[in-house]
Amino acid sequence: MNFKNPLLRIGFIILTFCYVSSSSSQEDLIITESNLNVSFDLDSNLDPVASYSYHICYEYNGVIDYSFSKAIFFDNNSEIKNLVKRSGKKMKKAKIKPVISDYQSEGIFHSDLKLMYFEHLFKESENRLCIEYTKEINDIRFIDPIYFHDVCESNIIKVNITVPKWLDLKTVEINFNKTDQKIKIVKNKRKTEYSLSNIPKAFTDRYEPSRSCVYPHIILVPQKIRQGSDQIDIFSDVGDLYGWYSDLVSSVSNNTQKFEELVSELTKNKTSDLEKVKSIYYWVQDNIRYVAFEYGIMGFKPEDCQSVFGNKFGDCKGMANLTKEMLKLAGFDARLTWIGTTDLPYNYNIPSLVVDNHMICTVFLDKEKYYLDPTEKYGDFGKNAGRLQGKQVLIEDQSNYIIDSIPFNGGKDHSYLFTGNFDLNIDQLVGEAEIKLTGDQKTNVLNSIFSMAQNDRMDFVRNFTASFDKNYEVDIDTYPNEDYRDKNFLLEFEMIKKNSVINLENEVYVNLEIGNEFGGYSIDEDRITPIKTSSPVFIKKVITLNIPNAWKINYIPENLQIANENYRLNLNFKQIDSTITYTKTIEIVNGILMPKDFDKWNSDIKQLSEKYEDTIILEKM
Amino acid sequence: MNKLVILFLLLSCTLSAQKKRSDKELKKFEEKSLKYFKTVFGEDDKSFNISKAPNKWKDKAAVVLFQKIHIAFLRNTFTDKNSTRGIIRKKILLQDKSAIEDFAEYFFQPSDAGGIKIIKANGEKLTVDLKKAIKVETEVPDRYKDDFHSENFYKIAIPNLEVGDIIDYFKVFTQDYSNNIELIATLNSSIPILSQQIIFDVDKHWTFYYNSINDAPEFVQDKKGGIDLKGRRRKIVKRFVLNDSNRPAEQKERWKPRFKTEPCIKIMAIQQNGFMANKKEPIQKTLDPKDVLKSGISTFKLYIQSFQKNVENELDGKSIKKMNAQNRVETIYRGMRLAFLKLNISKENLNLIEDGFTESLSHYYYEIRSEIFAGTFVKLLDKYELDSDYVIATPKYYGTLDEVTTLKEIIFGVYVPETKEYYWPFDNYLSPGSSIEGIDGTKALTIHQEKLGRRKGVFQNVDLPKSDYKKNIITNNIDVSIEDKTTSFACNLTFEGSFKKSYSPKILYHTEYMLDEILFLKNKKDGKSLLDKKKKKKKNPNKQLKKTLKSYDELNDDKSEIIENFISEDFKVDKFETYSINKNGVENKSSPLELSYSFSSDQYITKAGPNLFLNIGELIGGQVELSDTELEKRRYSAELNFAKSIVNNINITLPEGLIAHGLEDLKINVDNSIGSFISTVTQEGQTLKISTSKIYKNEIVSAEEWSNLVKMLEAAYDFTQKKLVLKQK
Repeated sequence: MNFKNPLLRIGFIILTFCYVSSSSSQEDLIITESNLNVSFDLDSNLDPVASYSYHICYEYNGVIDYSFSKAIFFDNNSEIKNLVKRSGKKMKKAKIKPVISDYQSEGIFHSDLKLMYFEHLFKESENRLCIEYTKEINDIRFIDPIYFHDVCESNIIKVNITVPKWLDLKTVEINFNKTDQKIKIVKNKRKTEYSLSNIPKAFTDRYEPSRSCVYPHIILVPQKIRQGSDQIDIFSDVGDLYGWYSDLVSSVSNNTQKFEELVSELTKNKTSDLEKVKSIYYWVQDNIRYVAFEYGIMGFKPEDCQSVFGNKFGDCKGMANLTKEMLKLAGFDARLTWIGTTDLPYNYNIPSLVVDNHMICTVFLDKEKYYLDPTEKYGDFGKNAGRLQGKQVLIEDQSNYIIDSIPFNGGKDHSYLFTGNFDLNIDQLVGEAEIKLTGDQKTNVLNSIFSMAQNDRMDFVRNFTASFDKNYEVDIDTYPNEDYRDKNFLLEFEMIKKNSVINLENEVYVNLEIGNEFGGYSIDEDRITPIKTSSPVFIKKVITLNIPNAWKINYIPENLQIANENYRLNLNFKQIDSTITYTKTIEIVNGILMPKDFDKWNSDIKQLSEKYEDTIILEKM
Repeated sequence: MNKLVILFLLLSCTLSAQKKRSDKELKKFEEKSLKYFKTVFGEDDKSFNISKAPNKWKDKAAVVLFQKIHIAFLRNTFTDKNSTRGIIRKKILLQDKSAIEDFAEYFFQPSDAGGIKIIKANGEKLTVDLKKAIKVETEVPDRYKDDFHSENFYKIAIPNLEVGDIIDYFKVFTQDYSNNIELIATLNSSIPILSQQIIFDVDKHWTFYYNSINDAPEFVQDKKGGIDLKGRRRKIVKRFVLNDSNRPAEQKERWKPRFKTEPCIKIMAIQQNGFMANKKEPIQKTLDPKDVLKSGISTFKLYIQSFQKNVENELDGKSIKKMNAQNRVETIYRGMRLAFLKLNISKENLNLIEDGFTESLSHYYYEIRSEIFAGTFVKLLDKYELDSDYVIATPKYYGTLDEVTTLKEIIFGVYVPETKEYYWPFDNYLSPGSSIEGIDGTKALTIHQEKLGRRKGVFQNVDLPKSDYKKNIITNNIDVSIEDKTTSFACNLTFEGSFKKSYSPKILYHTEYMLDEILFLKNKKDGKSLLDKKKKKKKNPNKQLKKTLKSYDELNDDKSEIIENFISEDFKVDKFETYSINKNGVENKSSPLELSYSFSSDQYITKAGPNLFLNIGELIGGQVELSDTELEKRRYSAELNFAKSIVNNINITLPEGLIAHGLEDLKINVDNSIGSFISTVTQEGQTLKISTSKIYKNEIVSAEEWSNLVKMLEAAYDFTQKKLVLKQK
């Protein structure tokens, strides 16, 4: 993602965050109490500012000395003040000399996120530490969401939000129903207190969804400021949010002169509007490199189109803006469009900067809206990436705006289809097969192919076709070129499947499974974080075996049919005359599996894995 | 002033100071870069005029059109200090999109100098403005790194980069050095190189060793001399130039000895007072290992004497003298290792070990310097009336002794005629008489220890013992029982010969072996019960003991997990049960490292219609999976660490009522001059006995013989795919 988004920081935030040098010592550290007081004030220019005042106490119950690192994140819109600690036997107050450094998230080229950190040595005899500091946010549009979970276990956490009379603040509670802890909420007229106790530590696991999708948190939406009889809307509704975005976009000085000739060239021989739009869209995909920026206001404001065009790189906003300007130049109604990808669980009922993390371009063509995401290399026009599907979009409409949703079709838009027809040849299966890919499956493979040096590509295609399994020999000489858009991604090849036949003279055991998808993919029973696949999954494989003459079928495995709201696993064996067709269909519906579903998943995967090993038994007549 | 305001100001100042420092760094960098620009980017350097790649490399992602590497070993006559300055300039043609992605960002360190230009297909040159660069905390591509600085890098996204562009960048690095600089590098890289020039300038007060091997072009001395610290071209500064062209991309192959097959250069630069500096003849083509041994023993004389005393404290002199030669050598060797480890381990940890507690030494892996080892060992052997020779060897992956150019290529050992064994520098685990990686079967030099340094002392050429697959063995005896779908395993795994060196760090993760050594050398027998005694005695343990016991328990948990992970590399473990290290293998060459373990799994039995499958092939662990390319051809010889055998003896007890089918299919016999994979099966009642033996007969396999190795490896892989059908009787 390249859209500036405070939520990107929540992985590190907010009540506290600690790097812990030793896992066993980390287990012995707890937060005994954590108080966060959120308040608001007006600065000398009468602009509203927010203060997050923290008081956090740690207790260490280990016997081995333990060096603890405390990190606090801030950026160009915030400052850390009044950082002090109390420690030692007498809990003496002392200043802290923190180290400040830039912080870089993976995949972000340039960010204004900074890290302030210090170390504290816990000893068995001096095992307590309290720290205090205030994070001042100088533009309340950028106020942080508040999370409760930390990397240490916490005894008690309290969050007090005090709202002055001059401010209307909306608090939005997210994922409060996704935690076992009871969150106590006491609301008075201008004060709200959240408290909860015995909070387990937050975990970090592979393939987990973003924290905003999982952990309970509070989003603070500053709606209005009242000054006497006047009132100033900040984010009272999505219109204000759009207004703020729109002002930023209006301040971009676009100049299309540099690419007028190119646009004319790209569209000149195209016979339809659709072809013209595609030509421009694909040019941006192919020629502009994606580089993520999150620095100051540039985290929200697109770079001008001429810079992106000249540099041949840009972030999503810059690429969307260039696409829009090129399309406009060609006479199309193209508009910038804000969206929160599937990493964010929000919609525009929350008028806040945290709901968006991406920008695309919408083109209106023959009364239809088409969403163009130029960061999706090799993406087909009219097809939407899995991370965008089902999400609301906020589309420019001059002084107004349009809210719409990108259709969600589950995994079927991102399918992996395999068809193979095999004969039995002593102890192996020999046949012809084809693979068809659509959506994210297709773009992922094309991205892999073309990110490699030319001379390595054929090997990759061969290995991909053989499911990266040494037991499959494939004969394939060509792979798709980069013009593979708007066409089926199709690989046709001859295949030998080795080590799948046991020949006991009068009896032959034949295993028809190819790919073994999710076989043995059970989830660790200790895991407590959900699992997310990168996009919805739809796999269908149809494998046909021709029964040789003089042999009859003695055994066909029973079918497997598992279906629930999260996934469908179907393995179907069907005999028609002298053929057996094995059809495997796997669909992961929305790509997220919650911990409550893990037991069921593991039991289903066990069945699936066992069925993968099962065989057809042929007997000599 | 209000304290809060001061704190605020301090914080603000810190931030703004950081920003200023950053800008200052970049400004300084720019100034320096401009200064070097003429030296490096001078338009008169016609070598860089190449702008096209040959057609034969059209399918390569990128081609280095020309690169120049200039390293100067400089002397500051005013301060009498030496320094090093390197300049690298590369001009690279980007031929496809993957290259664009690869070179899209340029990284540099501001204490040095550097710059980058893009040359468009129409010849237009664009200089990238580095003032817009940003500091990076993330990983930096290897091509921009050097060993000179560890400071932060900056990076910039290169604008307007297209297929067909040429990037032309340079980097300057300088460093004051107090150590030797040793370099062994291949002349080719992952990208083909059309043309390259490597220059070394060597000022006074440096000793310079240089060599070209494997058909790399020779360095030629430029009589005009090189550049001194002030940039003056002077004859007194010796210049060596290597010109090279048409170097294809390095072809990667499994087990390929790079430094023996690819054209390489070796260089070593030593400061005036450094070890092996030579004031009389400061320029040397190669390094004579014999001189290194002589110098090493005399240079480290005092250290050797001191270390010898430490070792003697560990040894019971009286009992040693009563031992036979073999035991005497082994005891001295083990005493040396213990003394060496004690010198490196904190006193607190040592006390714990001696009290019977283990302490993680995973972070304390040491290898003794070979001059110290050889020097001390011969002295101690002499003291205990054993004759010995010094031995000089070089690992085969570096080449041969006559090609040695750097110190890191040389290993000193000791030969004891009475035991007819070679002894090599130890690490934490190496047992006396065991070999070390890469020297088996190589040519070495020996000299009687008393003759070293004498005028009449003559070195003898010897062939070190060849690696023997009969002695380097892994044996796993596996007892398997089946109940329903659960398979239970009880295994006894032994490592012998050179295998011990590879596996000891994984298995001897804690220091039980050190306790064993302490007890052995002190002639104690019941040392391990010390811990239990201590636990019992201390009903209310003091803080120190409490701490230690907790630490001990944690380490034991860790170790169990480590062993489980180790076993899981080869087996599908559902429930890990027990393990024990029966023999630590450090005692002597023939003592094995032995581990027993047990676990169960539901993943080896699957349903096959009304019958069951037993995935028997998987019981021999993972095997090499050769790719299609590897099956087809081999360009270079393959060099294994040593010849070796891997044996599995699997006893499977089938439940009553079940009978196994497909046994014949398990019988494989591939045996040729290079290797063998042989599996046998017998059935006695309900017990199946399956043995597999995989042998790499030689540690070096020529390209011509590769197909024989392939046959063996493929047979072993195919075995892993085998299944038995278990049917009701």
